[in-house]
Amino acid sequence: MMRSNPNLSIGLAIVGLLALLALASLVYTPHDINEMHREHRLEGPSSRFWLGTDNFGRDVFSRVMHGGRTAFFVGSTAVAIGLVVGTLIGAIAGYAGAWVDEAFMRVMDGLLAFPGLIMALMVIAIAGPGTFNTALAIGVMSVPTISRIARSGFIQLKSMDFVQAARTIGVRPVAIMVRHILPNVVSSLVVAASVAFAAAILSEAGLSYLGLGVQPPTPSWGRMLREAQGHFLRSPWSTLAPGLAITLMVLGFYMISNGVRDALDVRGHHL
Amino acid sequence: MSGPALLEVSGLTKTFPVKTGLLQRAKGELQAVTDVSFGLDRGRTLGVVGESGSGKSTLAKCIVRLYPPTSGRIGFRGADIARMGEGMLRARVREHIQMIFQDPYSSLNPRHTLYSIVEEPLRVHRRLPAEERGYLVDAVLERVGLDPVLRTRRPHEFSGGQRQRIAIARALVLNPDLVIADEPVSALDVSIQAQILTLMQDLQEELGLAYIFISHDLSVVRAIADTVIVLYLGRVMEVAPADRLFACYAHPYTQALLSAVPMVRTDEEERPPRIILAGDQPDAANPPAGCVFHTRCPYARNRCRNEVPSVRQIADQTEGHRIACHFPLSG
Repeated sequence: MMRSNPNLSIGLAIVGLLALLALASLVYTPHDINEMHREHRLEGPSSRFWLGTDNFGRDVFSRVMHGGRTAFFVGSTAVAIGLVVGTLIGAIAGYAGAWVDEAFMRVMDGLLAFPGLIMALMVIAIAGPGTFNTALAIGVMSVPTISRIARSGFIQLKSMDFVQAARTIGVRPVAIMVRHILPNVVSSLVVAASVAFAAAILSEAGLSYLGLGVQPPTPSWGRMLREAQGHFLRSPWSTLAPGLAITLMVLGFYMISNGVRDALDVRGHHL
Repeated sequence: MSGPALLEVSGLTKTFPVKTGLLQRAKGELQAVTDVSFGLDRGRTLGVVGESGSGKSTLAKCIVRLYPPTSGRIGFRGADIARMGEGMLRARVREHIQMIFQDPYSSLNPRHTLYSIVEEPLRVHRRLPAEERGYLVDAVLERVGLDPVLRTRRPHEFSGGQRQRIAIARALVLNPDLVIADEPVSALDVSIQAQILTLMQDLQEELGLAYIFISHDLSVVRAIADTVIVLYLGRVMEVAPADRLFACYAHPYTQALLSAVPMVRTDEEERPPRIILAGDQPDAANPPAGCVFHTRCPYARNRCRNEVPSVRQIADQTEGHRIACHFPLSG
């Protein structure tokens, strides 16, 4: 267990750094995120503007910090929705089996049949754009995948002797699912959640890039890309910075998910 | 033998649908247990022996009602539990019938502590206020030979024998009437087997437990059982008091099983003729006609191939020696 796990440590370092910047933005950013320095538009990095300025003369570094907050908020809200709903559906379907399983899983297949972004667009069309609705849309998108992972865990574990033993003791089905099976499925759900987090960051960026996600003036990395792309040749910094932030964040979460999987595989032998 | 037996099983049958193909349509049936009947009194031990695939575990799981039997009666403390609903089972039956599983590495939840595993039955059945349960759990742990100091440890920190002791403690903490042990020692080292068997016997004497002891190991069954049922392909071949079965078995299958037990030769004990069964057990989804054992029986005749032998009383007045064979071996 205590073997070195570069995936996990590097992933945690990257995500931790970004999280630190996002948290810091709550109390401090080098410049006000909406303040326009008209005489400093589209500048490169300098000691005053660490990552340059955008076409309105706003400080890119401050906006990247604040955009991280948005990314973490959308990611964690979406993953929370996906985890709760997905695990609930997967647990019931997997444990009950038979027609209940069929019914739930066919609905999930139906959801999976739409490309994720189309699904998200549908939710946004109904609920309207905005930061929370973006998170909701992305959360709904992740439900089918997470429910499948939970379901397979529940199916695999429900036939194990310790679950049978719980039944012979007289433990009620809900308690068996929550106390006996769920703790043994958590590890695969953690892996799924970190993958879903990375996917949520990407989706948020995508939706915001299309102008359907997070709305101005809230800074979002995807939105920053959209606004800066027209000025890429004159000043690549305002495009590169949010792009790099998205890349690092996604990479970090994928590394965490791989690392968690590796770490849990070792312990998995005890199961 | 006064009053009704603790457990009275009659005509117990369990079939599983055999599903194949894309649409999972039931193609046939697999009769895992067919028409099994026996009784068991308080404080006694019934041994169930047979090869793997003979339906021993299915029989056990029907009696603890992990499976609903397809037909037949399971009389337990005067009530038929064969068709009882899950809610009723939890309220009336579960706490009185406990099970010990074969593999102590999978029968204990890897995420739970020793204490939480053994305390759970008390919690589920609301026995004792929470703060008093600790004393009972400690007492039971000590009784099965585990140090209560270890109560916060998780299963992977224990050895196989210790784990089986944990499983026994969990089964006994509710003070049940009947404990079904499905191959409880076959996953353990021989030296540990003896310890666990002795522990189970001692506990039986102290607590008046009835055991159904399932094993493929005849020497183990011989050590612990009062009565023995021999199963083959889900059907009863022979039932007899343990000492009688080992001395004057009458079924060719029992003979074959006994002859396969390795033993140290002693002068008083005559070794049964060595019989090696050819081939495998037939497919349970497609059992042979007539006596199911005829395909491997060294004494099979025409009648065995056509006519199913019924389970009948044999020999003198010796109580409880029953056999399903047209041509029993004579003493």
